[in-house]
Amino acid sequence: MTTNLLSNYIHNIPKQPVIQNNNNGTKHDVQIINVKKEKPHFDINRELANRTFIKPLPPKAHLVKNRIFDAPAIFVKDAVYDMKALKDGWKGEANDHQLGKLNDLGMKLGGLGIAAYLFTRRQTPTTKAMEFIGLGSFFASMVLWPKLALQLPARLIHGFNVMPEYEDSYGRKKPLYQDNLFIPWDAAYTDKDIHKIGDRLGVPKDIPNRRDYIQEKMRMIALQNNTMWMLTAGFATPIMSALICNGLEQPVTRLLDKYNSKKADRMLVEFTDIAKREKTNSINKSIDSLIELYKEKPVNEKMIESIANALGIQRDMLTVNAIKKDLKSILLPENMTYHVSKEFIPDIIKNSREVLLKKFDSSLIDQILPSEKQLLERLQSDDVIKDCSNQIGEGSHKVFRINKLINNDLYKDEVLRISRDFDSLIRENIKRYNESHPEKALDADVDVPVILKAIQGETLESGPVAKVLLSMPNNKFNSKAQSLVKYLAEVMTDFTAEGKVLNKYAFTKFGATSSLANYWNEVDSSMLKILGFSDKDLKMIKHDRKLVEPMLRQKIEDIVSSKQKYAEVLEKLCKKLSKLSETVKEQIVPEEYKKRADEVYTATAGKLKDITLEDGSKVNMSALIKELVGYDDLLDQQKNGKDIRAYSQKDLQKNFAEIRMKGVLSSFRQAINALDFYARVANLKNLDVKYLPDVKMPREVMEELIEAAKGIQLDGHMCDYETKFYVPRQVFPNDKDTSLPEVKDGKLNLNYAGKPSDLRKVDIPDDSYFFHNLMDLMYQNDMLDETKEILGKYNRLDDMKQHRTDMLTKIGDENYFAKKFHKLFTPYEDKRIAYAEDKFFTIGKSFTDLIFDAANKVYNTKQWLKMFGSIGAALLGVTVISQFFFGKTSLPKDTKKG
Amino acid sequence: MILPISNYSSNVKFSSEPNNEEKKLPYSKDTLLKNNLGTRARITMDKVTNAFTVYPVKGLRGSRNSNFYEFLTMGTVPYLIGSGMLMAVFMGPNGKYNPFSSAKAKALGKKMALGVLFYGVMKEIAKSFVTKPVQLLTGVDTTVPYAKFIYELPESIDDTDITSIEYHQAMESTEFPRWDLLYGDESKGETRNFRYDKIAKKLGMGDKLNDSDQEVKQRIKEIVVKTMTAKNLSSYLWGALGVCVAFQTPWEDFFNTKGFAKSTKQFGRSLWESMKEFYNGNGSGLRKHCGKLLLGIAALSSILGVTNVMSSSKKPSKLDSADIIEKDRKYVVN
Repeated sequence: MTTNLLSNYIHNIPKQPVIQNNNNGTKHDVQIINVKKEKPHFDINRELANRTFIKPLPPKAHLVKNRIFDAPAIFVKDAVYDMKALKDGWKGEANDHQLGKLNDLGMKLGGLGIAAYLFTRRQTPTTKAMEFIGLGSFFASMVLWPKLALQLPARLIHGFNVMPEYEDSYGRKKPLYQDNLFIPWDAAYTDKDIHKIGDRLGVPKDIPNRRDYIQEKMRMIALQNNTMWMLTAGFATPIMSALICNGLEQPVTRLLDKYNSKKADRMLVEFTDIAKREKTNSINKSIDSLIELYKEKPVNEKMIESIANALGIQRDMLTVNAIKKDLKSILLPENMTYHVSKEFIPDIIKNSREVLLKKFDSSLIDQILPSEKQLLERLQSDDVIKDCSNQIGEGSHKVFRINKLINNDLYKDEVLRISRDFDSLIRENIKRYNESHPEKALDADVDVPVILKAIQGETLESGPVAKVLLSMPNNKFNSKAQSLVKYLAEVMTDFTAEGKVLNKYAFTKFGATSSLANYWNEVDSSMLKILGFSDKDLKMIKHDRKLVEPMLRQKIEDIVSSKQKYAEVLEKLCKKLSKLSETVKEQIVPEEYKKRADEVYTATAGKLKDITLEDGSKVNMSALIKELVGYDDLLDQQKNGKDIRAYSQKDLQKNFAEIRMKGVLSSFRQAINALDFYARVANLKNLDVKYLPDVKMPREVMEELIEAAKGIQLDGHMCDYETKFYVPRQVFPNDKDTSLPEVKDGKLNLNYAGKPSDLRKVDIPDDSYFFHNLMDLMYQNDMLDETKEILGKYNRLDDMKQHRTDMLTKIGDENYFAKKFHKLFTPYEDKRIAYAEDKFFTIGKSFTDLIFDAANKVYNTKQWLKMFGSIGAALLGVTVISQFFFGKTSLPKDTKKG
Repeated sequence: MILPISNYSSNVKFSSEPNNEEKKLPYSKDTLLKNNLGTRARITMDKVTNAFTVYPVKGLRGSRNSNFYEFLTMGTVPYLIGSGMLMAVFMGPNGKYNPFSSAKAKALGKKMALGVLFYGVMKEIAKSFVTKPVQLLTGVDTTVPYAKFIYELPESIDDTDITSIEYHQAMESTEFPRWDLLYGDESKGETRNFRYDKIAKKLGMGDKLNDSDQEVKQRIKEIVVKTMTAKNLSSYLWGALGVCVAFQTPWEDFFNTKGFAKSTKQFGRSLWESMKEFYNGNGSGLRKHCGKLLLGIAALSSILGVTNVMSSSKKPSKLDSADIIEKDRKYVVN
C-alpha cells in the first residue's frame, strides 16, 4: 500500500526543531524537525502556527561548464552517471532522464558491436583500426557538427550559447533549450547576464519588459538553431565522418606501421620465447587420436594420408605430400608381405556381389558367384598354385614361390595373381549357368567381359577381390611406427611454431600493409603530377586502360622534346625513386631474419635425418628434408658445383621479402628507362642495332624497331616479353632506303609506318634477330649522358645499370624460340635462366598499368571529394548564413495605461 | 480551459463566405488507443509527415508553440536523411567512376543500404522481444499509445487554430505515467479498474481486489522501468546484428538478380544463406565465432531483460521506502 506524504509527516510531528548548518557553515533558515514518537492526535493549530517547518532548499541547478580542461572530469562524471542509470534501470528504479541516457548507451553498444564484428572481418591492421575510427568519427561528427556549424556562429553573431547544458538540482544534465515551453532561465542566467546578452542583441535599453523581450528573442534563436540542427545533421554527420576518416587514414596507417614494425623487431630478438608461445598442442592431439584409432592395424595408404595431413596441418600441401611420400616408403616398403587368411572368404564374396549388383540382377549374381565353400576349396587346391605360377608375374617375383595360399604371407604381386585367378571360378560358374539357362545365356562378347571387368576393378589393386586380399599387410601400425609418428609430431609442432613467427615477421615488415606498400601508394599518385596529367586526362583515362598508352606516349614525347623539361621531370622522378629506395633500404631484410630462417630450417632438417627407431634401425625423411632445405646433402653437392640450387621452402622464406621489394623498385626503374629511351630517340643517340652482317640497317626496319620499342617501354607486360614481342611487321622491308630516321618534337618522322603498306604487316614468330635487336635497343644501348648524370646525382646509377642488365639476362633469354637453330650465340646465352617469379618482379608493373591505376585512384578520390566536399561546404554555408535570419521579432508596443 | 476570445469571433468575420474549413481533429480529448499494427503504422506516418513538414516550419519560424515533443519527433529527420546519406557516401558519385571501381563501390553501397534498412527493422522488431513477453507474462502493455489533445497559444490575434494532436505512449514517462487513461469508462459499461484488475490477476496478487489500481501501480512502474532498460540496450544490439547479416557475401547474388519475381525469391535465399554465413563464420578463432558471439549477446540481453522484469514482479507488495519521508534527510523541491 502506498502512503500519503503529508499524512505520514503529520503523524510524525517534530518535537524539537534542530537548526542545521549548511555547507558554508552559515546558518540556514530551514528547520528539519525530528520526532521520536508518534503523537496520538493531530493539532492543526500548532501546525499552522509553525509555518517555517518546511521550505524548499535553494535550487542547485547551474549551467555545465564546457571548457576543454573540464572535459576529462565531465567524461568521468557522465560515465558514473550512466553506470548508476544502468544499476537503477536494472533494479526498476530509474527515472526518465536515466532511461534516456541508457538509450544513448545502447546506441554506443550497438555501434561497438558492429565495429567489433567488422574488425574481425578485415584483413589488415589499418582496415581493422578504421572500423573503430569510423564509429568514433561518426559519434564525434554527431557532436561536432552542431558545435561548429550552429553553436559557434550563433555565439559570434548573437553573443550567447544557443546549446548550453545545465544540471538540475538532481544532477540531471539536460540541454537548456531542449523544451521550448520550459526554459529554466533562473538556473542559467542572472538578470545582469540577460541584459548583457540583450545589449549584444541590440535590444533598445528603454523598452518595457526588456528582460522578457530578450528572453523571447533568445528562446526564438535557440529554437531555430535546434530545428536547423535536426534538418542538417542527417546530411552533415555521414559526410563529416567520412572526411574525418579520409583524413585519419594516412596518419593511422603510419602509426600502426611504426608500432607493428617495432613489434616485429621484438619477434626476432625474443624468437625462442615467442615461438614457444605460438606452440599449440593440436598436432600432437590429432596424432594421438589417430594412433588410438589405427594402433596395431595394418598400414594402408588411407592411414598414411590422414597421418600426413595431421602432421602438416598448419603447413602447405607440398609439405604434406612430402611427408606422405616419406611415410609410405618407410611404413609400406616394396617388399612387404600380406597375410591371406580363411576369414577373408565371406568378405571377398560380399565385396564382389556388391560390385556386380550395380549392373546385374541378384538372382543371376547368386548363380555366377562362387559359394564360400567353393572358393575355399579352390584356394586350398593345388590348381590355384599351378594357375598362378602360369600367370606372368610383375616385379621381381617372376616365379610363384609358395605352395599354399591360405594362412600364408604373400608379396603384393602374388596376391594380385590370386585375385586374377578368381576369374576362373566365375568363368566356370558362367559356363554352368549358360548350360542350365540356354534361353538367358550370357553373351561371351558382351556380358562376360563386363562381369570380369567389374570383378577385376579399374586397376589391379582396386578390384573387390584384391582389396580384401590386400587388407592385411604384415606391416602393422605397431609401437615402432607409432613412436616414429609421435616423434614427427614433436618435430612438426616446433617447426610449425617457429615458421609461424618467421612468417609473421616477414608479412608485418614487407607484406601488403607495410610501410613499403604505403609509400608506394603515395608515390604512384605523384607520378601523375610529374608527368603532367590534367584532370581532363584523368577523366578520359577512366573509360579504358587502352587510352593510357597514346596519352602517356604524347606526354613523354613532349617532355623529351625539350632538354630542360626532360631534366626537370627526370630529376623529380629520381627524387621519388631515391626516396623509395631509401624507404626500402630502411627495411632491408636483416641478416638476423635470414640467420633465424636458416637455423629453423636446418635444425628441422637435422631432426628429420637418421631417426632412430625402436629396433635400432635408422630412417630418413628424405622427401621432406628436400622440400624444406633442398638437397639433404646440399652442402656436399654445393662443394662440387657452386651453382647447384634446389627449390626449397627455406629459400622462399628468406627471399619473400627481397623479391617483394624488387617488384616495387623495378616498376619505377622501368619508367625511368622508358623516359631515357624516348629521350635517346628524340636525340637519335645510342640507338645502335645491327641488321644483317655487312648490310646497313634499312630505314623501314629501324622505324619498326623504334616504334615497337616505344610501345613495349610503356605497355610491355611479362607475357609480351615471354612471347618475344608479337608485333606486326613488314615481311619484305624496303632495304634500299638505308637513310637515318628523322626526329621532330621528340617524335620520329615516319616514312614507312602508318602508310598503306602497313596493311601487309604480319606477325613473324621465332625471329630471334628482331627480339635481340629490340632488347638491345631498350636495354643494351647506353643511357643518355644527361640521364646518367641525374641518376648519379641521386646515387641511383648503379641500381639502374643492374636493372638493365637483369632485363637483358633474365628476360632476354632464348627459351621460347621454337626452332633449335634460333639458339644463337648471344651475349646473354651463357647466363642463368631466371625463374618465372624472378622475371615477374624484374619487369614489375607496366608503365601504363601504373598510370591507369594511379589515375583511377586519384580521379575517384577527387570526384568523391568534389561531390561530398561541395555538399558539405554548401550545407555549412547555408547553416551559417541562416543565423542572420534568426531571432527576428518586432519590438513590444507600449501598453497604454488605462 | 479558458479559450481565447478570438476562437468565438471566427464566426462573425466579415468574409464572403463562412469559414467552414475548421480543422477536424480525430480526437477531442486525451484518448487511449488500441495497440495494434494499424494504429502504430498510422501514428508513425503522422509523426514522420509532421517531422518533415509542420514541425520544421514551426521551429524555423521560432513559434512559441514548438515543444519538446516536436523536437524529439524531428529526431526522425536526421535518422532517415542520415541513412540515405550514409549509403550515398559509400556509393560515391558512382556513374563517374570507371566500370571496375563503380561495380566495387556499388556492391559496397548496396550492402550499406541493406545494412541501414536491416538496422532499422531489427531495432524495431527487437523491441518486441522484450515488450511482448513482458506483456504476456505480466499483462502490462508498456507501449500502449494515446492521442494527446492539446491547446496551443495563439500565434496571433487571428489565430483560431489552436488545437492539435500529439501521439504519446501512456507509459513513456515513468515519473508521470498516465494512470488516468488506464481507468475504464463507466459510461461505456466498463469497470473502473478493469485494466488494473487484469494486471493484478496476472501478477498473482489475487482477484477482486478493492483497490487494484493502488496495489499494482508501483509494480507497473517497476515493470515499465525494467522493460525500458532492457529494450533500450538490447534493441541496438539486434540492430547491429542486422547490419552484420547485411554485410555477408550471399547478398551479392541478390544484387545481381534482375526481375521482381526472381529478386523476391532470391532475397529469401540470400537472407537465409547470409544468416547461415553470419552464424557459421569462416576462418578460425574469434573470426569464426564472432557471429555466434554477437547473436548470443543480443539474445542474452533480451532474455536477461525479461527475466529481470519477471524476477521481482513476483515479489509480494510492500511499502515502498521512497514513500516515507526520512527524517534525517534534506528534501528539495525544484
